[in-house]
Amino acid sequence: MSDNSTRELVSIYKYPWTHIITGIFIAFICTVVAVAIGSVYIPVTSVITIIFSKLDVFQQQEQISSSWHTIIWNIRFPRVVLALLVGASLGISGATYQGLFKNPLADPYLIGVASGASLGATIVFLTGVPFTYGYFSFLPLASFCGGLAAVCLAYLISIKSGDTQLSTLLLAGIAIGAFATAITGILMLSSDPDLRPLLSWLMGGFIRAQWSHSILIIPYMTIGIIFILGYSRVLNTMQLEEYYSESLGVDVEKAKRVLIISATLMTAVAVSFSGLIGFVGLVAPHVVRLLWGTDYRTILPLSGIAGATFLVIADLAARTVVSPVELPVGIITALVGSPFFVYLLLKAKRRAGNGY
Amino acid sequence: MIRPVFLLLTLSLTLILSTVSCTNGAVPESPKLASPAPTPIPIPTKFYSQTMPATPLPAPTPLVNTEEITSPINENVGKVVHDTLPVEKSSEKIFVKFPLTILDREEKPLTFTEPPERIVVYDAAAVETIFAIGQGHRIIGTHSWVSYPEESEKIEKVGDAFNMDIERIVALDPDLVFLFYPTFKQELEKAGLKVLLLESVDDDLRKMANTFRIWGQITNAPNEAELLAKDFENRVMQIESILAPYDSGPSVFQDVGDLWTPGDNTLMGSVFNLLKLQNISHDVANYGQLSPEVIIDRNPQILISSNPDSIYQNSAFQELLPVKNNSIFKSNDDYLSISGPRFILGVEELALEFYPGLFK
Repeated sequence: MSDNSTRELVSIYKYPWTHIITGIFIAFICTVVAVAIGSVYIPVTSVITIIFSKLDVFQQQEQISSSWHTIIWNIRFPRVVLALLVGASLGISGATYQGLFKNPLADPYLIGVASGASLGATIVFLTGVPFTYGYFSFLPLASFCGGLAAVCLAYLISIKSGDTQLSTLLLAGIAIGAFATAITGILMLSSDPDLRPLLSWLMGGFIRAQWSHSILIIPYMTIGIIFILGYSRVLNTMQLEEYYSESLGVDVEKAKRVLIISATLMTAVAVSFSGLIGFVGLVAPHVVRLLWGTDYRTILPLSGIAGATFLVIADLAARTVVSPVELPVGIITALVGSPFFVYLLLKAKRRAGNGY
Repeated sequence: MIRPVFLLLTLSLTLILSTVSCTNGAVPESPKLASPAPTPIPIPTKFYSQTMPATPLPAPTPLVNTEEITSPINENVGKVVHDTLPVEKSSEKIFVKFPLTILDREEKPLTFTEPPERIVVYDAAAVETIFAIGQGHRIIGTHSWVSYPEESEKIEKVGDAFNMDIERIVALDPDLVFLFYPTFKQELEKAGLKVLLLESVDDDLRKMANTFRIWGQITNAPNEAELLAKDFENRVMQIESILAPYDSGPSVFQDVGDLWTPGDNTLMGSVFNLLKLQNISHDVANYGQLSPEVIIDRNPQILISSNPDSIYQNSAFQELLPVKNNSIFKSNDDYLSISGPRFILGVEELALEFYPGLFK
């Protein structure tokens, strides 16, 4: 390894700022469009007036019906923001897992977060606890704990079997996930017939979105993003053999630990409010990698932006395509995401240069 | 080194434990615990009184054009083949002539040479109906979600509603297996059993009367069934005639969980039509998850929910009238989730709740 490329790998602050700024700009445009369109038609001028009146920039000029006000401010806007945050969380943690496990099939739910979260949600659901107690909601808490517990268990198993072998962690995660799924199945089969709400939660979606959800996600996300972006250079070195990374002075064990915990926290908190939304965390990093190369300093932030944009648009489709009824957003992400993904794969194969 | 992981693990486990201990019970151990406890309420019902806010219901507007009330029994619903004249009326007593031929859901004839003595009834509504006409002794098997009437608890359960122990059913050697969905029909028929599926009542509550009558014929208790069916029809007709002078009532939204809601072509949709409540999700096909934006926009005057707290605590719904008035109606799932003899009691509860001046 030449001196130059080593320096290239470890040099600080070489983030692709132009890409990031362009990406944020595109995400912003999509957000605006998503807030302007919905299953109830509200003229764009009124949407703008409503938002600015909340921000106290202008005095409210015209009289806007209070139901429009509620629709924009209490339903559509928090929903779009939550989709942005969840999409970004899933995109970044998906990219982290893919880098960590050096496995292109890795997604944020790989090591048991999803099954654990489902089990937690199912338990709360079937014990008939009121979902909410004051401003406090059990369903997200239980799914968060379930997801976290599953991953911790997998991690403990991999520690017991020696140092944190990533393959052991992966297999333990899959085993625990299968076990949790089995328990969920038993609970669901031996219970009250009307499982529709639970199933719709498991399919994922933003129909319950409220401002408080976004506020609860932000701290976890911020911490997760800071740690993961801080380790993006280390993720680059981890694409080599561990021997090389260690020779570069990287504490690989510590890096693994920090990355797993951060990515899992972000996923668990996202899952707890949105349910299981597939495909975003898998596809977003690949799209970024296919378009802009394999440097994790590029992949991580751009995966977040791509995931966020994709999910906002997918949710826009989910709530408008068959209006007044909603579709589970997971259906849209798979329906739109997979053909696009295949197209990119074929295109990359023809170029045949970047590892695909 | 592994301390943070342990910390996280114990933290999350404690949280889970505290969450679970906050609940009123443990994880359901057996299906019986999870299913709703039966509350046998004798007919006629005593309605509980609930204070209604004075304002939310607009005074119903009298009808200008007299609306023709159609007969509550749809003649086309009759599924009994009459070429053998199975029913004879003589001095108000009805007799059933065997062999009896019944048309099933697919309009295929099914012939009974005598009333079946050993029936596996895979449907909570049919179990209730058969007990209501005094023929419960014929039932030898049900599924585990059946919990009414109390006597049905003693009957052997041969699976839950979606999983069927076919070997066990064959071992019981029934004369007839009644199903409410066709999934296992072929397997059971291959095992040499007689399987019956009746026309679904899932789109119109008035079809229930006919289902009662068919059970009366199959079990050779036509007079009891006729009483039950007539009582049902009278109750429906009474609601109809009380509401006949009025054009339309308030608008309604029913949340069966997570904003899933019945459309017009569902059983609940037909109840709303009967009660002249304007279902805001009339354009939903079967059941669908209604967009919250649309709920705000259509502004229902009545909310029915199995879990009112989830709506009270959603900040988006604070401006809705029933939320402001703290008047979301918690639906009686014991009645309204089973399309049997008690269903009409649930309908009457709704009528009393939403038209307190008109019904008593």
